Amino acid sequence: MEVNTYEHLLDVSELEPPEPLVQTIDKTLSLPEGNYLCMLHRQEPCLLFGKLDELGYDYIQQTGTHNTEIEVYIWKQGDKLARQRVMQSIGDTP
Amino acid sequence: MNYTALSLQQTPPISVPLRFMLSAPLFAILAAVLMLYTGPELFMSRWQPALLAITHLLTLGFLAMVMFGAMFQLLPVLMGSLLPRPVLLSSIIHGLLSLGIVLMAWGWIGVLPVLFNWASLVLGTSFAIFIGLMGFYLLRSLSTHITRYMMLMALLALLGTITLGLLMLLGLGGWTTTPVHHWIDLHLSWGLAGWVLLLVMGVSYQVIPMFQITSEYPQWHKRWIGISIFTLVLLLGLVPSITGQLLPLLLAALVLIYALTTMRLLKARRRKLPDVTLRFWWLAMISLLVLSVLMISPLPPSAYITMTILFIIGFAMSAANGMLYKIIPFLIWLHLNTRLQANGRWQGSVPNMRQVIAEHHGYRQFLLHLLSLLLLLLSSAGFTYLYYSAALGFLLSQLYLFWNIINAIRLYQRISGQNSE
Repeated sequence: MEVNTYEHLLDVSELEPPEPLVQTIDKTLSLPEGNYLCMLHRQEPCLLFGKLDELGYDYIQQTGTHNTEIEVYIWKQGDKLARQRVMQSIGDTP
Repeated sequence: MNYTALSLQQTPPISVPLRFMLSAPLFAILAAVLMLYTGPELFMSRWQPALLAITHLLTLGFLAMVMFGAMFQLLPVLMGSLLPRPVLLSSIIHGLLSLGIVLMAWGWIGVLPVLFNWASLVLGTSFAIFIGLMGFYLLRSLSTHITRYMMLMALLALLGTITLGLLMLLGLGGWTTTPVHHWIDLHLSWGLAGWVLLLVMGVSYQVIPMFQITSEYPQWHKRWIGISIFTLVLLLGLVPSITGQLLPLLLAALVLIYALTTMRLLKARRRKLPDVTLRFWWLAMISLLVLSVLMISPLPPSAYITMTILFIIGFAMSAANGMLYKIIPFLIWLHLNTRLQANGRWQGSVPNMRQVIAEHHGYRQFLLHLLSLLLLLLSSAGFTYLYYSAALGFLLSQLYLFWNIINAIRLYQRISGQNSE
């Protein structure tokens, strides 16, 4: 799959808790406008979503297509360009 | 599960699980001191009062303490169920449980039957509140995770274990006359194969893939093994006449399947960093594997004590001890992080898991635990000259565990003080 410059891939599938949460929040907080994070994990990150809500980020979770179980797309609430790009990326996913 | 509703705020205050987890090694230290005080004649008979006291100091004082603490912590996070007044309820349950264990052990050591009546009242109240509270919230939970069903089955087994235990305690206190032998066997099988094994299994389904970076347990395993063990344990009680050789054989086979499946997962773990919890899991599973073979082997009755040591210290205490090295650092990280965010900061000086309890301290304690287990097994199998080394090793291992937990709590207090400044 082609990786766009506005897509930031983060594979946390081989990290133990709480590293997936820590690294995802770190990357999320440094996302430039129009960019989104694609986080790859081996299981549903149940503690992440509450934090993203509190921080003001939107997200979509879907079954993994990068040889991992789960993919979570994260972007800043109100960032229409980032949201549009996420939707395109998901739509492009076979 | 409604993930958006799940938040770190749902976790109970850190004092709730920690009060149980910090008390666990204290009761094991008491057990070790009692071993040293009693001497090698401890292993002469399974009916020795001191042996009964030590067994309950370990099963209630260590194992139930860790398990209660883990359930208070896991239930809100994994099941999406908020517990009411967690500090008050955990204080009552913990206080009564601690007092009841001491009264019961004192009753056996001091040959004071009146203490058994007080112990049954105090322990009965503690367990009734715990089982009622956890049972109610587990039944109300919407989670379809297998750990919920495993916890429910383990709680039912605990209810049976405790009911029989209390009746026998009242018998010792002169209140009832009981057909003791059959009840003791049931008390043991429901307590060890029901409550302890099912709960460890249920928790391992969660924590082994999560913390050891392994694949998930196979679906068939999660669907059938726990319920089959529960059914067998129930049959042992309801239809004692058909027990014969068949049920122990089936139980041994199921235990073997669980141990082998877990070992296969651990062997194929994706992350290869050294990890003390992993070593404890291996020791727990090897103990279970050996036990499943011994269960169907023709052994003299004297092997009974060796097998009990293998289950309680080799399997259950190893698993619980190992989990403490993940749960406590994780809780400390979680609560420090939550405090930081409460102050409006999302990034700050929160130690990582391996900084909370240093790997080498956990590893040294593991070596002491392993050494004392081997010495205890040999000592109970007839090598009585190893008895004092075994008891001393066990004492040092539990002192080291207590010291590791205390240092982790001190670190939490120090950093939470700095972050709130």
